[in-house]
Amino acid sequence: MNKEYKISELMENYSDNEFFLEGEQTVDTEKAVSELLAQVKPKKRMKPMFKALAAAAAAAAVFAGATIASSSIIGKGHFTTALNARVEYDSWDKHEGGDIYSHSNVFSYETTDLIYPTEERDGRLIFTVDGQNTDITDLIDRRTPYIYSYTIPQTGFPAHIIVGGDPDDPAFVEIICFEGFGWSGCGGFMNNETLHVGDISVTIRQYGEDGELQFSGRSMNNMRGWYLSDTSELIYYHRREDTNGDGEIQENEVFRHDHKSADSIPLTWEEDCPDAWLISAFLQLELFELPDLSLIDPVAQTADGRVILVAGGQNTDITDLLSESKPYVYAAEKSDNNKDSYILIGGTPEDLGWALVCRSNDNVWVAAERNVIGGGLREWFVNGAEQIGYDLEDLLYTLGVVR
Amino acid sequence: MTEEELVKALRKDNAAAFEELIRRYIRYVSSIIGRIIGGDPQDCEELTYDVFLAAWKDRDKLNADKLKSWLGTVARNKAFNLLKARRETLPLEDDIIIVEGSETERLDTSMLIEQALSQLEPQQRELFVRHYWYGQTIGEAASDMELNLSTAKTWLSRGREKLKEILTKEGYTV
Repeated sequence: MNKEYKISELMENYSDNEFFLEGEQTVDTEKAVSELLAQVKPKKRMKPMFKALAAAAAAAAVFAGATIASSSIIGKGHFTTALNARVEYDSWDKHEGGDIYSHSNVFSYETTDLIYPTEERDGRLIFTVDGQNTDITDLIDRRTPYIYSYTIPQTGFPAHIIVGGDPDDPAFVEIICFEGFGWSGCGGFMNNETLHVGDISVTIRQYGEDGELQFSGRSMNNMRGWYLSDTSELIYYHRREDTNGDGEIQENEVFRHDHKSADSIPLTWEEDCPDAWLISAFLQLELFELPDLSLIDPVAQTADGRVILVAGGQNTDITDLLSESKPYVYAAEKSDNNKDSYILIGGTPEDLGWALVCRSNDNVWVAAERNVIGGGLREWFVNGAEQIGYDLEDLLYTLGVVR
Repeated sequence: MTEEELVKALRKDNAAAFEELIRRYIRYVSSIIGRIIGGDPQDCEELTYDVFLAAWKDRDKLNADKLKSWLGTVARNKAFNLLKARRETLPLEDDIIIVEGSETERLDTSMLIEQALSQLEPQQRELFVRHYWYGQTIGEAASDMELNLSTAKTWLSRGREKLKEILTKEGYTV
């Protein structure tokens, strides 16, 4: 039997690697970019919480969280100075008791002078950008930010200038975003302290509940993560750092806010939280990634040392079901966005740890944890990841840890 | 951004990289499609978008060394498939090869085409690719290559003969 083949069909599997003939463009580029990007907006990878929180608390110029190629030109912001970001060095902090390292890229920026985005005129606070003057006196307070968003011409990166605080003593931060890579603060003026954009360390101020400055110190990469309270409505924000400068790490509550859901804005704030406006802005701009399972600390301990799992509306004694090497694995209910989630609980009653690990499509991450890395990477966590089939290295990456 | 950096960034779900991919190759992709399916702007747009969405979907499999050719192949095949679905064809010169006998299995087309084209002189190969792959008319291809029409037809004929020669060598009766 004869068979007919079209030459043009025979060439279906052929790829032109030689000629690359270009003709007349038949599709509008800008429309294509706009419509295609809208279709493929990537799912946000879960980044380690501490990276975002470090920025919120300190609003410092340099954050470990921004990961961009070395020597990338990120462009000059309106009022700040990040002209060229470079990875100065990779910072590896070794954890005691094992070959676990916390990794961060530490950046430096070429700088020029800081220019303020606001000025006072006749008792009013005026935001001045690109020749426009906006009276923002009544638009900001300690909880409410004014956000000006723009695109950096050289790179197309989105950037935001965030102003907040008392109108007669405002603070501001400029943030440049790298879609898919995170973001970086590039300068600002916070709480009567000028940020040194060229510095590679951060000056932190901790305020107590009465608003009084408790200490001022320098540290990097000091954020611990989110912990949810018993009420599941309140979030405490802890900062781990060497408060006293004596080499001992303390965990100190910095502020708290009432949180109803990841989408609820406005939030209510404790009166004494000086950074509330910045946190609000970060939430509005989606620079935070909050765990969207309302999980309270899943384990409680009784007076005689029994470990009780408090989840799914039940209390279960799991003391004998876990060990240092073998976790108790609790499968949480699928959340609305179809995420798989497990709680791994391991260790001993004297040294307990847990991790909420999630998966959505190809991404896995640690949404919340306690004591996963204490004196080295905990064996129960390693075995638990294997048991549920989550990639351990990917999970560790979201903790900012590599092996 | 190099192709390697672009592919790497795409694999990290980087939307800015996807935008760069579009900007870099939209002319190439859309011109292939436009040439094959004609001037309907909506069809061109739709197929062009399909190509980039395919790239995004398969971003983990993209090869930086062959990125442009991959895009071109996908664009070209989508355009030809649309014509096929509409029972339309391009007026390509003597596009049919008849293979006699009882062979029922599919020809290994990629190998045959590669072999045949590799044995053509570069300009003859270019003409063949312009006509049968890019879908240019003989007239357009000849004009772009500054050939006269009869030379172009002769060269195409040589290309077809080479292809038949390869088929015969592989045991097929043409």
